[in-house]
Amino acid sequence: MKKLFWLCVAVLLIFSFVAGAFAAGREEEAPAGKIPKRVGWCGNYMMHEWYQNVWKGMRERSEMLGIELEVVDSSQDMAKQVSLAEDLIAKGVDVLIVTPAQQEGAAAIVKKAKMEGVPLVIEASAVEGMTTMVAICDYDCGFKGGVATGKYVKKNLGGKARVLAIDLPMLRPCILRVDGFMDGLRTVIPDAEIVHRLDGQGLKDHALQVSTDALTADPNINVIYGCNDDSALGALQAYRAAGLDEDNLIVCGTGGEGNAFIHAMKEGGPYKVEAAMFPEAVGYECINMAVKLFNGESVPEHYVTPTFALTPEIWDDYYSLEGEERSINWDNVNKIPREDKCGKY
Amino acid sequence: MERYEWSLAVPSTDSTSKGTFLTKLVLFNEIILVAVLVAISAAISIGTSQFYSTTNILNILRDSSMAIIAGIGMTMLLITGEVDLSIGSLVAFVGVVTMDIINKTNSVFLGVLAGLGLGALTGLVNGLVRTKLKVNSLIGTIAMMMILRGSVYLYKIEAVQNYHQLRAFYELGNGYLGFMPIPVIIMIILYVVFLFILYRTVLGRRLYATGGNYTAAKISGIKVDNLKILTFVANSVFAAISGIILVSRMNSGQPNAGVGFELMVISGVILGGTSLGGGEGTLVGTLIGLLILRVINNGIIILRWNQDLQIVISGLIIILAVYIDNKRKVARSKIITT
Repeated sequence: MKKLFWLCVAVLLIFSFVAGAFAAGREEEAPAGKIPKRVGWCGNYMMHEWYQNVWKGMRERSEMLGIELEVVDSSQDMAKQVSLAEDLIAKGVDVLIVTPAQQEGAAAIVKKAKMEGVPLVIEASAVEGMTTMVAICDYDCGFKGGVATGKYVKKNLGGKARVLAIDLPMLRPCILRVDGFMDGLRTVIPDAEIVHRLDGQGLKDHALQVSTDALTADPNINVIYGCNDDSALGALQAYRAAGLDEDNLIVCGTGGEGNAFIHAMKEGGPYKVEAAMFPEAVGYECINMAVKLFNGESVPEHYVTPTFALTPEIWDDYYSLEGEERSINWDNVNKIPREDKCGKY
Repeated sequence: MERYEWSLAVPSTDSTSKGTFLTKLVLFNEIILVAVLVAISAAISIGTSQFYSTTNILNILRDSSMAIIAGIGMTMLLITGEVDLSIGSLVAFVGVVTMDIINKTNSVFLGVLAGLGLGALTGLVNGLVRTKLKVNSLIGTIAMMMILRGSVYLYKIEAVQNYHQLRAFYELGNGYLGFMPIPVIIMIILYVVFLFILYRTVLGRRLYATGGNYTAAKISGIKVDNLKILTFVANSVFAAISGIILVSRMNSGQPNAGVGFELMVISGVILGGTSLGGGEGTLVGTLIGLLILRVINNGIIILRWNQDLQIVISGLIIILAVYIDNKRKVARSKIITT
């Protein structure tokens, strides 16, 4: 009986060591070095789906690492952002992450953070004097969408591309996306023509209106590109309202900021390419970069997060959707090759 | 002094009714606007034959219908001396709620009812804030604009997709009755009804009286505060109708819809001759004013001009039209008083 007792204890001890070793192995996924206790994120336009998903990615990674994440929203107000960033610094965050409301105005935050010795990660847009930025490459993202679109046009639409591009010219990233898309498209279809390049203001209703006029002028457009998903979907609605043949059309959206593109792809209609930017991955990498800075590690000036052209055949390798709740497949997203630097800035 | 503005109707006791054709033209309040619309349309059609195609004209009408419907309400509200800057945000919220209710109930009727109800409630609150709390309508409706825009994101952070793809819902914004788009038919019906109300009913006269001279209207026995509340409600319901048509056209409820919508509607209404000070305005002017703005935007795209010109040219046209119309009004007063 005594032997049996001590045998059980030994088995339990061995089991707990193994379990502990396993857990330690999972924790090895965490970065080496110290983990900051508190990270503050001064976001911008948080009500947008994109930033909701960036936040999701940040939250997930923070929870994995046991970091307390505090989030504030400057709501596109630069003065407010400077004040909020100063508040976060005053509250004693270990690392600050900022999504600039304005690139020039955010330089004041960079200066303040340096003065106070608080490591700073910039998300999305470069700011003078910054140490590091986590962002996608807009040009390359558009480029990948263009290549995928070109392949589809070559195979299914007779090899001729007449493009309606819905842009947002007041934002440089959007200009880069459209430029990248056309350059990528022209690697497959060299004589691809941009028939209309219009400002849809990044909004579905404005995109609908301008596309209606463009399609009246040129009903033989067969490629629609949107600098974001709303732009692409608004233009698609205009195409449908015009009663044009959807079999002669391909739509490429950009971003994957919400679930709209998944619904569009699942419909089986002309929405065939999504130049996805994986906002969750942006948030995830912001936290990783925050940890590196906290440990004084060397970091690139621009850490490029993954972008990829999703199609109806493969989107569910990267996302799953239950009801309206989407989950990202980290394994596959983390395998996407990343650029060291962008093709164009 | 009464400041009723009668469009198309010159009182039979007016001695000028026997004047020359030119005199009558000057007395026709919207003559300048009609001339501007004709001139712009002619200029565009010289540049491209597509402008006068049936497809393009129907597109212009369908696309304008939402603004014109909202413009009916805004005209009446401005005539009473009030304004509402919350209609853009309301369009977004109504769209989201309508789509959400349709998804949950599988009923277009219930979704539309919910959207209209939200519109009516918003208008009621705006009216009460103005009349009972005595908050200036510019300030009050800016506050409502902020409340609605924030609330729609609290309600739904993401766009609400159309799950059931109900045919009836799609037809509302995209369908046709014969050759005419359904939104245009809705617009025409509302326009004719309220044209009659404004110009041929006691209610219409009282709207002008309230805006023309609030105190005199009140002393004469008009329940001016109730009238204003009613007009705020009507205005918001019209905006809600626009929002419902828009959500059908977009096939989703977008929390970020309607940005700039209120300014576009107000610009068109003012271009149409309605005074911000109250007591003056016509639905005919509103119709033509909004069509002018839409035709400019349409023309610039089909002519393949730089799209930034849309804002520049619209601004220039507004200044020019209002200037020429002021000159016409001076000539008109001279004719009437001699």
